[in-house]
Amino acid sequence: MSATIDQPVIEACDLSVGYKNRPVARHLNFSCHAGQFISLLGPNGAGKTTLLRTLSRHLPPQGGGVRVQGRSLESLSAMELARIMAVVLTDKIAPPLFTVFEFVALGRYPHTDYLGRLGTRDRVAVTSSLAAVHALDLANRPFADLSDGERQKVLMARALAQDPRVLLLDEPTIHLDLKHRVEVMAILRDLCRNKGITVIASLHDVDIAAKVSDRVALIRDGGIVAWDTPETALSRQAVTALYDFDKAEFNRHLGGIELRGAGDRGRAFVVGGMGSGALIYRMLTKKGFTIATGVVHENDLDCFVARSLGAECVAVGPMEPIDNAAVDRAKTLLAACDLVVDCGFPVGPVNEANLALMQAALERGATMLSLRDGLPPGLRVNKGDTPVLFTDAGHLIEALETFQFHRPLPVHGEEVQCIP
Amino acid sequence: MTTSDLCLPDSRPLLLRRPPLVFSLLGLMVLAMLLANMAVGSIPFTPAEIWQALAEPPEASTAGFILWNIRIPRAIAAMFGGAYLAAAGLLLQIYFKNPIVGPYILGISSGATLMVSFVMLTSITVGWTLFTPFLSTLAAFAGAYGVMLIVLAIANRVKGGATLLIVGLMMGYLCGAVSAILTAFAEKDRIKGFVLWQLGSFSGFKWDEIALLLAIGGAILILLYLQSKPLNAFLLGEEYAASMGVDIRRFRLLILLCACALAGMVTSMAGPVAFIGMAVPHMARLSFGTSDNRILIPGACLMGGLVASLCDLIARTVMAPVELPLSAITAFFGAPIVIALLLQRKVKL
Amino acid sequence: MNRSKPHHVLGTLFLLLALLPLAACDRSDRADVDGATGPAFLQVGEFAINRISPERTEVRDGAGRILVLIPREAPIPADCAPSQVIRVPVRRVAAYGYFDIAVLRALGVLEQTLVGVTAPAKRWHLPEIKQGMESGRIVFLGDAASIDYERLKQSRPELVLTWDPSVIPLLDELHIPAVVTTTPTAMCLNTRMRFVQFLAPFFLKEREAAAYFARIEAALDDIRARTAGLHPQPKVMWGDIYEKRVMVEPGNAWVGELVGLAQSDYQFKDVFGTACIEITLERFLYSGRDADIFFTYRTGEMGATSKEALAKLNPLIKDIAPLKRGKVYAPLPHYNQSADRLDEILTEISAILHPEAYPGYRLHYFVELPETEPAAKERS
Repeated sequence: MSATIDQPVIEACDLSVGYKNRPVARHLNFSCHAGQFISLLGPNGAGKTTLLRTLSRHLPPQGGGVRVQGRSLESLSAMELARIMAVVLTDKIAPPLFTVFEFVALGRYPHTDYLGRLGTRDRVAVTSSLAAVHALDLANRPFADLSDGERQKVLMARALAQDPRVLLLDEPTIHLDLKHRVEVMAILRDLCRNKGITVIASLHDVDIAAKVSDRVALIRDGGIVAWDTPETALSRQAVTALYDFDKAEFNRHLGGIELRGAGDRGRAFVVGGMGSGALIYRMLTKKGFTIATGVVHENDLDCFVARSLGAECVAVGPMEPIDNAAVDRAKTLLAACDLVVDCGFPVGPVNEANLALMQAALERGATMLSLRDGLPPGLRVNKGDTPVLFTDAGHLIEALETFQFHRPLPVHGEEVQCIP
Repeated sequence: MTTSDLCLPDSRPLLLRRPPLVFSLLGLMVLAMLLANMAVGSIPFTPAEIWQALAEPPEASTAGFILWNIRIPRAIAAMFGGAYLAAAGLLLQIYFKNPIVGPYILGISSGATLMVSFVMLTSITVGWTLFTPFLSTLAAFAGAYGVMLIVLAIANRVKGGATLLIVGLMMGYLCGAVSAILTAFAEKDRIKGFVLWQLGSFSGFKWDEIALLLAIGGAILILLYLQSKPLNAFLLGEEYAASMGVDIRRFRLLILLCACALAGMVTSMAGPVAFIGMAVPHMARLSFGTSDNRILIPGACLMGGLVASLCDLIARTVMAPVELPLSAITAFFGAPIVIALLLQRKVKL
Repeated sequence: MNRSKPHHVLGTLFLLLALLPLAACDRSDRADVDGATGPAFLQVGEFAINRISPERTEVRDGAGRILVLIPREAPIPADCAPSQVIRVPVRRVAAYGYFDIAVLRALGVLEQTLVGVTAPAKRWHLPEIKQGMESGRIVFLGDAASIDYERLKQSRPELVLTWDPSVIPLLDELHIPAVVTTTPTAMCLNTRMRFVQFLAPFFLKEREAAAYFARIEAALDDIRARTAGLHPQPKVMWGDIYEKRVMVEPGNAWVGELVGLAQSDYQFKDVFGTACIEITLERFLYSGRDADIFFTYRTGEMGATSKEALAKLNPLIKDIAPLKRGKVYAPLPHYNQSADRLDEILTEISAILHPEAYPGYRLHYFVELPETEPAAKERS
């Protein structure tokens, strides 16, 4: 962080962006400081790209103004602006017969002479730009032959070669595979940290944005809903409202989005805890089950995931032993469920009560699928009500595929045979 | 970053790199072609006669007359005409990001044709004896630049290259329509000259025209070369170019102005010469192996001069003294090249 | 020239493909003369007439189509398609070219048969046609490149003489018989003389054709006789410059032949190709440096009013010898439509080349250009 927080690099005052007769977003006020990573978040069409294009002067502001390093954007010459600001756009460009080095060297435009000849400084800048995006090995490859991910890195290197103070990126991770997506974001974060460059990027991954950004701007309904640190701005409600989530929910503790299922396959009660349930919840949700779970602790991962997925969750305070009241509530929920899944949680003093819960379920004759090697100690089993045991979640999923909603589960015997 | 010791591209010695090699090769071929165009023609001269004729004033001998008044102007005209058409084609291919665009895509040749058809097919200009010998050249000039002004005015208003492309096409159709109507009403004797003009030829250049061609065209080429840096930036598209510090609005007009001025000048003096402007930039790109306009602008000019000279030489010697239509020869040259390149997908823009 | 069509430039393109057939214009034409009815087999360039029986004559036209001529009342022969059949004598004809019409005139059938032409009234210099168009008997069918087929059909021609093979399919559709009367090669002297014999069977005018042919032969014999042994032999060039491009009559055209025949040198006799062909400027100027006589294609209306005017029109040719010290002749407007007077035209050209052999000859088809622009502009 080499930031002098005093003077903002970019400052918008009552800025309106959009096109003639069609304003997209109005009355925007924000300031961006050196070394900040700023993510613009919002649904498609909210104006992220329009805002970026206005900042890069590809579009004229429809009202208000932008100041760049204290000077108004309009007053800067094209060259001056190019030395301060570089962009990476979504346009697919493939100029023919360019090596990567030559391509990145085009970024030296504002620094070279009138014929664009490269001096030693320029070569060094190009090489270090390529190094900064981990693309030095590509230098002699033809630009047109690059993969999408490699191309994005080279495009960033070109922007870096401009030696900018501000880097504007429009959807830098779109069309990229996971490896490059992660790599690109890491590169951008490093640029902020190491070079003090202000990065402003429109992103569509809230979870990634939350993890790398210094500031996030939530853009919706023709304005900036929030401009703050992601930790403050990205509350569950804020994200749900931003994207009009219906079947999904953002959880800032988990740092990700949980997708809710249709919930029309039936109700499953999951006995989990100590992180054993998170995977099972997601899996059941994906398969279309409605979930109830218990009894878990409030600080347990399972509790966060279950709640994000909209499960009915019986929880007790952190570190407290599970009390009878909680077990009773869980039993009520369990009674309304079509099957019970035992996640194979390790049993200890604080969650012993869950064994009792399972015992009660077995006694009621409920179908129980269990992810354990053997029966947990202390569970008494009547003949015919044996839990079906699975060694891993994959087999459990297969069993669920053929699950029929009759009590008791008719395919018992066959399922058992399936177990290796 | 410690980069000074990194292995950078372009570290080979200057003379072994591809562009200088191709440049010297092309230069030699152009020179050879220039000499061939002076030495070969429908009237055979011995090298000694030619040598002597070059040392004398044109009036001294038949050889001198033919060399100084016919072959040399024609050789120069073909060379520079080809060079200008190639440069104009290169510019417009970059401008429109479209590999199959040529210098006539904006209707320049149609505008010239229209005005020439007025001069040649109607009796409007009968009384203008003052301009008589240059009348159709002047008319073509007016037509080409008239269309250019209209296109520039429109280019100032519309954003996308595609729109401008369509505007150019429509201009072409409009001008073509008027020419066609004039042709329908014209007397057959007049049509003769007009049809000939439409086929294009470097025949009959006068020294005044050569001087104009060299002075104006040369100035534009130098201007263009100085613009090769923004032209390179333009290869990435207008938006990137703008973000790198190119004044897009001014630059767009400049490109169009240069391209139209070059193509318009050649067209007004030689008639429309097909395919050179379209095919040569590709040939230059492939032989130089680069899209760098600092190399391509002079490269395409040399290549254009070479191809045009060669085609002209073929046109006037293969069936000598019968002269074949130049555009037919250039089409034989250009069309297969364009098709082959596009099929191989070697050329993208 | 008679074949001054806008297609002559395309003709140069054909050249690439059509070089071999050009040899057709040598003297290999054959004619087996068969008493009073005329030749039983006659070949004129690519055209041929094959008299199979008194009731049936087969004709090969310029496009290589075989047409069958039968008497008007005879039934259609079983072995040929209706579109091939032409009933003779033909009574109503539409014709494209000036040359076709001149042939009709030479056969003496123009006034009775011609019903349609492709040039408007103001372009005609033949009184028969002017009158015919005034009275409405002859109609203007539209430009040759864009015939008005409704009018063509309405004028009920029994035969269309055309140089444009591309209209044949449509004419077949309209049930109008057509004959293609020219090819790129139908331009040598022999073809032009004999062409009348090719068209004669269509009108049963073989006798008139023979007479016409004899008249021209006589004219040629007269030219040979008058010019034999004359010296010096003038050097002749025939062509013109259009802006910066040069078109000339090649040596294999009838003009070239005639010049040779009249004891003169045709400067372009080594040029080989279709009539009115583009050659290099360099060759034109080179040949012009020692030529004596220059025939221009231009008429007076096209700017050939004086040597001065020609030089001004095209400074490139201002130094050729005929313009400086020789003679320049321009065709008169009716020249193009007077191919039926071939004998007179041949004689006139010969008289121009050798005025000493034709004392007191008055020009009818050409005009000698004065050095400078005449003060008052009054020339026919």
